[in-house]
Amino acid sequence: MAFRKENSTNKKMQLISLMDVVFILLIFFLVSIFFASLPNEERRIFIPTPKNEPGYAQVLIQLIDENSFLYIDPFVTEKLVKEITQIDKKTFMSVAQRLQQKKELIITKNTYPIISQDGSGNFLKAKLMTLVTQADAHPEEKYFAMIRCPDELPYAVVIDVVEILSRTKYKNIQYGCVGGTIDDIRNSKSIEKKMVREGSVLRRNVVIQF
Amino acid sequence: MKKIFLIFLGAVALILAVAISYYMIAMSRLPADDGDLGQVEEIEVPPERPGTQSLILTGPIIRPLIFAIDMSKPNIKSLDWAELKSIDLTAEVKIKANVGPDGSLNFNPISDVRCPGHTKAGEMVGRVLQTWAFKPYKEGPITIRFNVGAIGKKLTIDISKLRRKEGVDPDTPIKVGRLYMIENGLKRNEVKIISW
Amino acid sequence: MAFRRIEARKDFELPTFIDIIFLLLIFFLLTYSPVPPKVGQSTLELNLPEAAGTAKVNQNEKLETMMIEIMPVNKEKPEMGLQVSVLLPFENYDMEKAGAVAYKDAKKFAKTYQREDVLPTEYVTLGKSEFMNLPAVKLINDQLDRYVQEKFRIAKLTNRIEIRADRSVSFRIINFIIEKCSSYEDLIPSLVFRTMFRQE
Repeated sequence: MAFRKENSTNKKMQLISLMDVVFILLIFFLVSIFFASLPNEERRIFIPTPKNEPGYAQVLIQLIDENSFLYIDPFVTEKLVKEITQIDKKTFMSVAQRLQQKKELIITKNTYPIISQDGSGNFLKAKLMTLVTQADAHPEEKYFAMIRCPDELPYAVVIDVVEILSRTKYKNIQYGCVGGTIDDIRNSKSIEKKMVREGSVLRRNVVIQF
Repeated sequence: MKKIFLIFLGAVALILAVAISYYMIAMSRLPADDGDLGQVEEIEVPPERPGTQSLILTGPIIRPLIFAIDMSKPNIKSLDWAELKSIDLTAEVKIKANVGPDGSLNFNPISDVRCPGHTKAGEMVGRVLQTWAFKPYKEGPITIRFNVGAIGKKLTIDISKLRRKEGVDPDTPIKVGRLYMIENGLKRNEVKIISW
Repeated sequence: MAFRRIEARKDFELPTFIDIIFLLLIFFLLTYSPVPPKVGQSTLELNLPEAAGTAKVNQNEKLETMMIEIMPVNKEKPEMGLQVSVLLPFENYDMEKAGAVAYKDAKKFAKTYQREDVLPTEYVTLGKSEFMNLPAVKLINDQLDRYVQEKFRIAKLTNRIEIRADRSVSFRIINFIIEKCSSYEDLIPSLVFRTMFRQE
């Protein structure tokens, strides 16, 4: 039986298919460049040491646990002062009851999850970025943010907060970091509003006595 | 066919060249392995340091309210001192009025304006003062006394009986601003304000 | 009348096609700019390998001040605890005139002069006195006392202590250092943290 030899001249390179493959590879590598995770770098972050005296804070960031934090800014303080005034008027209640109401007012209304429940957003970062934007919009204003962190949390959480706060254009957010838990506020002895004169300006503060 | 194949090879080489140069640009943005760390910014001013004792949440600055003539109200007329002088050189007019909750100056032009012997001046002053209104921070009785012929104080305004209006924040201080609209001749040092 | 035969259809012009594709490709490559995701916006978390070029500690960097280093003994086995090393900018207190030392040498001297210890993982839950009695905590305490006594006699804004710690280190030990430094009042007004950050 005679086998017919295949005509070698009919063999053609499948150029179009080859090109398809090459293009797909090219596009894959190009796109993957942007998804390659960038490496870590070491940065120096400066943090002032605390003093053994009352702690002033225009912005309070009390880290509670891995996924919640308490956040109070001047707008919240302004509201708090009004609500504390209202609570103080309730003279029919005992001092302890009024204090309890004030604690609830501070803690329950201002506690947020760090990452939203559906995992879609970082509330802490969003709050801090809002503060940074606000500070950038008002270079004449100075802010002092107090970060309080419990012992068991990784310290990097504090550093990340500080890193965001130091992004201000005019460096008008100063920050300090002390150790402390939400229980310090929960078990505080008194919560009062107080008028304070700072030079020529008057401020209305909320004093939480531990 | 051979020609096309060569062109194709050239094309692949070009793609590779573009891709490699692109990678190189992307990589050049990455840090060097042993790059020096940036120096920490030198602090010129002492850093504000946090306190560990109690916690003081500093609220916003309280801006004081200014109790004065409310210029935003329409129809506020100013008193022409020279005209008053031309009507009566020794005019003595005392008006006992009431500042209403909306800041308006309320008085009866007949019974509340006392001007024995100087009726014309009293009418003129009464007519102008009825148009005055204050910022609505305080309310209560106010006394305004004109003594055109006096050597010292020619205008005395007693606001000591005014009280903070209900609803105005009790912690916010209220300062006294310009309480009169008089032009043409009355000097500032000729006015006396009795605040308390 | 003679009709001319219609010519056969010409071949697909591949080189021209490639030219156009290249032009388009180069155009899109040059004009493409990746938009970084905004803060707070939903982002896809991908666990990707790091690109080459990880910034390592500069072994030859001269230390400016005391550095307290807290790193896991073994990153794969966190139960082995944390290695605490106190690195001084000189070999030892009696040899401080020899000049500032590099990081790698400071590490060697820390070993030679026993300025390192292991902090067990349970330090977070220990009571205050037990925590204070841990050898690694005592080491930090004593070394800070000594360093401040020798080097920070006058209050200066530039007096500072550096802390290099792994991101996973609990705040307790860091807070201990912060509180210890603040107990010297104005002698140490600030601390410098050297922390790893993902580049942005």
